[in-house]
Amino acid sequence: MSEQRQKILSMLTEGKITIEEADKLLEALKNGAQQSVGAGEVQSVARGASKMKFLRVVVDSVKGDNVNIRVPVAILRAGIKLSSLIPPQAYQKLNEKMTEKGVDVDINQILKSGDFEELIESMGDLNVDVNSKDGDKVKVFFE
Amino acid sequence: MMPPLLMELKFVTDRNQRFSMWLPLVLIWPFLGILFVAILPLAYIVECFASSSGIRPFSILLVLFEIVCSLRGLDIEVQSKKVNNNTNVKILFI
Repeated sequence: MSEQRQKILSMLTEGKITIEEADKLLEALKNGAQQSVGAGEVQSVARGASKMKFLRVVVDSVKGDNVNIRVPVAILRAGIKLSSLIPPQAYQKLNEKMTEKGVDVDINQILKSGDFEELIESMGDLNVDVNSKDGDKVKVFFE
Repeated sequence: MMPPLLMELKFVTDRNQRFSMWLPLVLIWPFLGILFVAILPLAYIVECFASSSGIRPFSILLVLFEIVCSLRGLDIEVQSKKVNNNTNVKILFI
């Protein structure tokens, strides 16, 4: 397996690129365009996946109620940073309460610096699409 | 990092009354900036002494500044088009 092919596949498994993007890159390699698909281009595709700027929430109801929200990803980052500044004592109480409710998650571990960057990066592929029987539509995605 | 310069508020009520306003946030930031800079050293001193107890006002102020800066581009639009209730609300930070 060539180095470029390996790089594309590893990016796919890491979630840096989508299946379609990986397919396009592999196709380009297959067609003898190895020289054009250099490391720079591979990186640009990966960068494209992490270049998401907004979280979009779109609700389209048959009754005419529409909601269109565009939240900058920077707010999510800053919000998570703010929550990481919560005193550890508060975390302990929060963890205890959540364990009582049956959610066994250590929030302190989740919000450790560095981890949330990875979390936000991986959310780039998040795409929630809900269609109800009534015709109401809810979409949550990053752009 | 730069805080939003303008805020657009738009309301359309069920009686088709329209209310639209552009708030020049750019005029508020200098005053808040002075206040922020004045509080910052105090917050730093408090953080130096009380960081072991988990109280970190300096870090919190910096993150709050980051949150305010990241408001640029936030766009919230809610429309209700019912027969007797036609309301539209829009909030946009530029």
